Amino acid sequence: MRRGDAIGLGEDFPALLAAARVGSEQALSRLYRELHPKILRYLRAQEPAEAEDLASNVWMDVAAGLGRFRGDDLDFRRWTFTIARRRLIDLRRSKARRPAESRSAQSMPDSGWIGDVEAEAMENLSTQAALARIATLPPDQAEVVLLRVLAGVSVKDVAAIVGKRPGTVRVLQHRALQRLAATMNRDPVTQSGPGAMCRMRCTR
Amino acid sequence: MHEMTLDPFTADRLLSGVVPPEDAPPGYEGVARVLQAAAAGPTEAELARETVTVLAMSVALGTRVARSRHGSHRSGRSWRGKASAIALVAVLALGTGLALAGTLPASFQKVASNVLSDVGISVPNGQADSHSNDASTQAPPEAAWFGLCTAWESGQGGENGKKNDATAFQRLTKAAGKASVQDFCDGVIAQHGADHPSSRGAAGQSSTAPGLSTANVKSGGHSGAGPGNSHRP
Repeated sequence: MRRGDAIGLGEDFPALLAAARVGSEQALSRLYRELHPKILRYLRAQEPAEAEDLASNVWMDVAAGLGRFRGDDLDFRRWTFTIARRRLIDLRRSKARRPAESRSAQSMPDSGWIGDVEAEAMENLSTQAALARIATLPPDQAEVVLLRVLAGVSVKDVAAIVGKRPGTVRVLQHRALQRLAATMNRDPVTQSGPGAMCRMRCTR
Repeated sequence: MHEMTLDPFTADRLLSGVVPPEDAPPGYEGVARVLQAAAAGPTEAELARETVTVLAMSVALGTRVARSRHGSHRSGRSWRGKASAIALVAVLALGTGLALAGTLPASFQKVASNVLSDVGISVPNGQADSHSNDASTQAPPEAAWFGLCTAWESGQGGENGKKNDATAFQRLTKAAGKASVQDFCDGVIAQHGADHPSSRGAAGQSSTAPGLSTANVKSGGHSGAGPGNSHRP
């Protein structure tokens, strides 16, 4: 299976890109609907309290760079997730420069995450629970898993996005899956309500 | 701890989402379920900001296209860029007043401010809003409708077709109901003129959104700073 086909842009992509470049709301909307939920999940699993704002900024960066973008739908996905990752790094650097604010911000994610779950009720619970489970992994392992699953890119692509060697990415993903399996067999995912999220997230 | 064996090929297939839980290796059924759930289809909540984000992107891109066609002269900006920018302000205000897109954070306001600045319209960048979120800082829905109607009417007779395809203008059509958008907007503008005599008379002739008291047109000058330029992908 070609990974690029998995998100539904495929053959339409060149026309979509051309229309998006001149500001077609329909084309931009299609790109947004295809990718935004996955970008948001990628960000939410790592910075829950800031994810929505970061994702909005990612799309403004996409608009700023769309004229220079060259490639197919797979390249586009790789590009948007690269932007998302850079935004994440920028945010963390910014927090590091402001340690006092950073500390207060770090106390927010649990409440922000749980609030989302409550608001979105049962419809979204299993996805949220799954992301919370992945978020319990060490950060480098979680990031590799999130990029593989949400961006739908190969080991080689993930390696390019995170600036690591493909062999390192393979090791990270392998350890991540083993760790996930071990913790899940010890503490299986339940979908009985928001409390399940809290147990996973709050014991991190 | 006993580690369940997993070969690299199977690991790759699990992460590609092509292994259903029932076909996963022993001990990895739960992992397959988690990976499958993480990649599930979008929810409405995840797409709540679609309208405002797409409109902001459209404004940013439309402005760039207009600029590249007309060189670096700001006077060459298209009607579409200005009207879309005003519509963006209106949608932002509607987002607050009518909860169309959930709560709009200060950082998004900042993005919108940058975009609008690019087309010569100045609005607060949201820095102050992040600290004071009281009702006095939020544009009332009436003002938002006025801004949207001003944008809609400013395009009457223009040659930039399909403007009514814009999501913001579709909301006007919906709000007008059985009446025409023209009649609806005439009423909104007349009402606004009666309520705010000092801002009367500019509708359809100015690129400002008088109903949104924060909007004013900059005197000109070229600015190359667009959204995200400090962080080029």
